[in-house]
Amino acid sequence: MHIPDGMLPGEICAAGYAGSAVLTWICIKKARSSSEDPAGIVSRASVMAAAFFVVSWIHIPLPPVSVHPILAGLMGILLGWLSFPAILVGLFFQAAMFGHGGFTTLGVNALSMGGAALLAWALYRMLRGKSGERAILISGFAAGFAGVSFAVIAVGTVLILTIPAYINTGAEVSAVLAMAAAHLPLALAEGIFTALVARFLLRVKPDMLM
Amino acid sequence: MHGNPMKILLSSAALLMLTAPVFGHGARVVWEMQDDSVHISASFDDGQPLARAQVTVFSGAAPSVPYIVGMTDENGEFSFLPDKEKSLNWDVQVRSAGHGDIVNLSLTEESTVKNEQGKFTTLQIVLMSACVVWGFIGTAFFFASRRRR
Repeated sequence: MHIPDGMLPGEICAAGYAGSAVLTWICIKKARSSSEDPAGIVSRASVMAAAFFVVSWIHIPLPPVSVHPILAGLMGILLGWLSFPAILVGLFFQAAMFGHGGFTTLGVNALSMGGAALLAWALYRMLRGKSGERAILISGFAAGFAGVSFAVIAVGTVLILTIPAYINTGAEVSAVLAMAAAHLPLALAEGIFTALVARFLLRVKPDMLM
Repeated sequence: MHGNPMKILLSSAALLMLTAPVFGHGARVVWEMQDDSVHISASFDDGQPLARAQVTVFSGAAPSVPYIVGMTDENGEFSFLPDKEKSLNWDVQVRSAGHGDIVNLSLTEESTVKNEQGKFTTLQIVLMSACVVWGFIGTAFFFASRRRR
């Protein structure tokens, strides 16, 4: 899911940085104005950034590709606006420590995964309604499923639209579609996981849900 | 987090350490000289071959014009014969659905295996990850302590 260095044209990388900088500013501003407990939400964002950093190492081989959990939906429903900056920080450390992703593609990767978290959160809020475990299970599943799906769609679109002329376009498009298909089981798994976490939090700590 | 943030953070830290990284996901390209040809081996970090990935070879003499294009086999392997009179420096890009790597080959030295950077042992990965995770948890502690004041 992480696009490494050297795979995207310079102008796309620059646009990714510009877009993620603007979105980070908006998210931080919104989080400060909407949260009654800014220190508490930053504390939670740090823990979730750590979780995001670690889960990318849990590798699931689905030949010919390899997938890993993203947790975009869970980040969205637990952090709200701060999910984007938290994912950006996690991606930075993944690139810096292990070369997972890349520095030139950091902005694009942040927009795809962080943007997916924000969209998943919006979907969760739309579906959640007022209360009830059934509603939380449905909206939690939708958020987890959509978090992976939105990220895959974003990454796949960027990759297909920027295929270099020297690459066999048909083969690369097929590879991207295979990559997208391989993420379907992951999207289902993250949907179930997010739904269960959301229901658990509704029972024991409902104020953690954004 | 209103009730007992310290307990929650400690539990989170312990959980993260228990799920410490064992597997990788990024791509790695290793190359070596075999007689006069260059042998490329591409894989994910955990060793799974990067099968049927597109390979593009650029010579140092014309770095923007592909010298050879091809595809890795089922084992993630690919070989080509470089023209050393044309250049001693070559770039090889291995790509599949945006995953892959670019390696720079310098054919001037005697050693055979050149590109092993980025290959960490499991212990190194665990320690590096633990340091980063502890940084995040430390940040969380800092802000949690500010809340209680």
